[in-house]
Amino acid sequence: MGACLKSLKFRIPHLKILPQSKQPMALASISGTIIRKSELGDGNPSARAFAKPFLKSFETFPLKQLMQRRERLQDMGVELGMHFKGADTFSSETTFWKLDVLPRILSRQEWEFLENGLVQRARAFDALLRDLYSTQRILKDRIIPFDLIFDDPAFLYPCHGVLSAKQPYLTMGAVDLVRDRKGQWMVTGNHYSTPVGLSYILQNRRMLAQTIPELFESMDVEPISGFSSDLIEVLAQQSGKSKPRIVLLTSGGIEPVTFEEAFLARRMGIPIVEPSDLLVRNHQIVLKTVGGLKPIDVIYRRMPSIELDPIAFGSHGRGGIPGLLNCVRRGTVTIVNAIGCGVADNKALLPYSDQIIQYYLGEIPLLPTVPTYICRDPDQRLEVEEKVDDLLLKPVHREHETGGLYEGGDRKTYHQRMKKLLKSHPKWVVAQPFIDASQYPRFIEKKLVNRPAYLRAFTLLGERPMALPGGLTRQALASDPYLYVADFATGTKDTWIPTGKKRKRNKKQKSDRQRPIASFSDFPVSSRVAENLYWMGRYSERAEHTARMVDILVESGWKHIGKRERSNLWPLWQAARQASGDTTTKKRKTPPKEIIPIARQLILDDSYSGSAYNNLKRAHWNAAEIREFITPEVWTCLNHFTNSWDEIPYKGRIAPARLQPICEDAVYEFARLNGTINRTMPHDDGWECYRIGILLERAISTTTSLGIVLPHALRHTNPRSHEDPDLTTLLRMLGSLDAYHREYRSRTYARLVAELLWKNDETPNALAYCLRYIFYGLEALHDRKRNSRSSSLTLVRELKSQIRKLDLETFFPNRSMDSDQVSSHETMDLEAHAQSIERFTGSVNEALGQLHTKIEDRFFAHLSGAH
Amino acid sequence: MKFTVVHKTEYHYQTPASESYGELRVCPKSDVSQKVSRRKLVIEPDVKVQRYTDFFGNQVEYFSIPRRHQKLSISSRAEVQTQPVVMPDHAKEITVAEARQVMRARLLEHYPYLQPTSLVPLRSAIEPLKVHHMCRDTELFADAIMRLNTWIFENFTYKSGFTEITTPLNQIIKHKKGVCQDFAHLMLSILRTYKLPARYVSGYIEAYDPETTDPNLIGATASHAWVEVALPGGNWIGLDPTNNQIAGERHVKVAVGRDYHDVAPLTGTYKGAQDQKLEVIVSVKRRKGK
Repeated sequence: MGACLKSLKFRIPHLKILPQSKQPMALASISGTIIRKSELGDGNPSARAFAKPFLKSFETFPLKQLMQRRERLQDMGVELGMHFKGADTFSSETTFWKLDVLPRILSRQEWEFLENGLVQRARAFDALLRDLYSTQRILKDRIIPFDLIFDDPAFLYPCHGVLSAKQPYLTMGAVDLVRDRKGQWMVTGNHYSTPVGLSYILQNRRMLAQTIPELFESMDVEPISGFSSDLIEVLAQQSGKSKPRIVLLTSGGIEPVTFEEAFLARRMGIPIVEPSDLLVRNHQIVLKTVGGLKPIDVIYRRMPSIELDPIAFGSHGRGGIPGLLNCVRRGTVTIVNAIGCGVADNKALLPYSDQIIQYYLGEIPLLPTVPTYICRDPDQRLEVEEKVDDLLLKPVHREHETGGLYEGGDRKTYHQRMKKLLKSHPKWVVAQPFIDASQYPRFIEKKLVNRPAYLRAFTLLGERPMALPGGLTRQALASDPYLYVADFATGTKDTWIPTGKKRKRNKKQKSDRQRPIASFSDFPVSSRVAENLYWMGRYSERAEHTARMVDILVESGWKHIGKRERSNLWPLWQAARQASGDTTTKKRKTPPKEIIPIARQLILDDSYSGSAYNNLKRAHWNAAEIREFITPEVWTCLNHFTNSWDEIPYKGRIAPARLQPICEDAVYEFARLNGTINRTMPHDDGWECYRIGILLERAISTTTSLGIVLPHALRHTNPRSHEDPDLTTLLRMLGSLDAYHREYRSRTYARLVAELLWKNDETPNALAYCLRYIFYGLEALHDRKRNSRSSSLTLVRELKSQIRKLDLETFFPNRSMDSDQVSSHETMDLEAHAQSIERFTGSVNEALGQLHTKIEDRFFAHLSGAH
Repeated sequence: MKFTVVHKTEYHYQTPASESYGELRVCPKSDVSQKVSRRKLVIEPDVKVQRYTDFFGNQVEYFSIPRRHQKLSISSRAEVQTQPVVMPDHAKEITVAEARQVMRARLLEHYPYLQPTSLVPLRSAIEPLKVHHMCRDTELFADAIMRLNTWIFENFTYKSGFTEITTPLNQIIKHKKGVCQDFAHLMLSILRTYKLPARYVSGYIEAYDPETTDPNLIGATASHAWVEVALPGGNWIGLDPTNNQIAGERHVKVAVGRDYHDVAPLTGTYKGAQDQKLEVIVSVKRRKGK
């Protein structure tokens, strides 16, 4: 191996910076030279012949227009959210999509050669994977050193023997290619695990066609838009079912690939799911949805194998799906690309590419591979060290299998870092010579300039193996030849292949095709999304409620009021605390001296789990978990609100005078959030869950508050006094004082307060109202499932009728209270009545707790009927 | 000898757990030195159990319990007939260097058992032990591995509770204390450092001999671990450094792997609070009639 590498000669890149020519009015005047020096000129006459009429039409473009079009292209990219973030720590800059107005044209002949080579390579590596995970013939025959495979963390022992001999490993693959100045194409790397970049190719073509449609008139270009339907068809073929359910599985939230995942999922009409959306039930992978568990047949995998199953591979990432590998083993689900494919991307395998092709296919390899030094080999390592600065060092694997397409960053730093890695872990490093890549004109600033071009090409191994015509052409933007390495190329180009005879046949095929795929609407809202929305509702309602209560209570004063007033206000504080989830203060009978610490704790204390701040943060967390399902408006609103609270300094020592405005603001902010949600989010099952969350939380807090304040009122209030100030405050705290006045036009009496807040189903804070709308919400969820038999509906129905039939006389028999008269024996009964109110509210809260469990079991965790 | 092995694991959850998923490696192996009959696995709550054979040839059983449960109990029971084991003659007649040379032909098969793992670091990890006198090229193979076995037994103290499975090897080396798992990992590290393929074995041991007044054998409540060393003839021999002997009639083998992680009796996940109580009961009872 070492010997054959030694004989290699490396060409040193001789890249000239183009002379600054005079500003052209149109491009025609300079393109001749440029083209001669580009790959269109260097011994590629057929491409030039193809490109000529096209370039003519390009030349006629007025410069000003061309610049406008380029700007539009960039704007479109920004609008679509096409950008990439440096995966490296040293480049956190977001770079916007840079698509050139001039496409790269390859000749038909050149492409056909490439396509054959790409498909051949993909087939050979598919065979390699199948072999490595079964008989390991290639290792036994010593074609590849087995330590190379066994030492590779991407070779997953638990996957051995999991798939049958006929099942494919590698369905969609990509490779990086470079074309040298002589026109020789070479592979520089495999992306056979979770290739990234397809969406960019499809999107580039669409954007270019929309922005400069004129260009397409001069040439018939091989269409590429069908590739995503080809992909979904191949995915569907894997299951053998006529209408398989297919999902795109992602670990979620990794910047550079979220655009791609969203694009592909939408394009193919399949839902994006995360591991926590999936579950193993009866040795079958199921998707948890609000409408129940849906069995999944095919998983289009967009996350690293090792994060997929904590049982098989230990815990990595965000948890995975315990038992997934055993489902694959039983054949109840197919993963594409198969689990364990990452080993094919090991760059130390590159020097064996030809042997792999010959070994499995018995064919002459068509596409050469860039010479690669394997630094785990001591001889090769020595050689690499000798001329380390003339080589391009690469890790055998990208840090993540899904690795960003664009890592950006600075090559000097990169090279230093790689040299360090070479010293500490030579095993994980390979080295490649710099290839003097062929140049292609690019419209930079106001002129055409030659820049080296690289290609990422995609293959699909289905019943009819194919390659996507063209691929993603990347170009370095800088004029610094030091950056002329594919990994630092941040500009893109559409890649054109002139149509061949095949096109007509393809067209016909496509129209005959029927989409056998389960459509998007077959999948109701996923349980994860619904559950996060439900909790968003509950937490934001809880926070809002606390803020409003504290607002009113602080206003009622404490320091300067009498002892008796304090002891009457104290139950209201207790109510606020208990509604926030605290049960300890209930026992405290005597009011404390200082109330501000309690108010601070209720609102801003980070360490108190029931504080409004904490609940707000939780709601924010829930929203962040399902960021892609939240509208930007809602996200902005919630994000700003949370940030503004994060930034409040000295939360623990905040001045009493500032506390109340904060509470007041919070009430408005929550109203704004709720309004934005109702106005901008689709009113689907997820929204229903959000609403149910709000209403259930409100029902609990109303019940809790009444359970504390009403008994206190019965026990301590002098019935002959004119008005009960604490009940008035309670009504204000529950936002229902106005409703009370409208309804009764009288002073506040405990019985009437109870009647309003328990029984009135038009007062938003009343229990009856909450139950009524929870019922509607649940009905809506069930309706969509066409299943009316549900224990949660029954429970709400029973609770509703219990409240409706509730005879308030049993709690407040003292009708004469209305006439300000009370008899002594009735006073004695008051304690018994107070206790019966406590019992009643306790039982309602218990039922509401059960309702929560039933909702959770039914719609989120899918445990109903199982216990 | 004939044994009835019972391995019972019980989890009690303070708040109900759901979505339990588990893989078990508790089913004794049938091979040249032992035969398994009448295997019974009972899981409560009652679920269907599925099986497969893993990369290392171990019998794996797996199950899932989606519904809420307060308790998970797994009871594995097997009757095992064991055979006495002796060091084969060919291992006594060959030097360490020769054995290594012969075994090179099986490098592909042995490769995983020569590599370091997180629990079995090689070379520098055992530097402080100064075991350069071990496994010399000229030494007879059988003598060398038996001598190592005895050396660990004599130089290390069995002390339960002193280590956990996560305790790194250097702590065991430093304090010269540990349990059977630690001694097995230590022995693997030395053997692999000297390029002798060796693997981790989990199993059971009959800790008390009911018929003789022999000193008790040491095992962690009958759940035990030892090592297997590759023999030049193609087989493996079990060595138990904890008890300074060849793993023989009183050892019941369950699973093999590169280290403990490959053979953990139960790997599982569940949803719920982190407040489970675990109870494990293992018993190995000799049956009459040999």
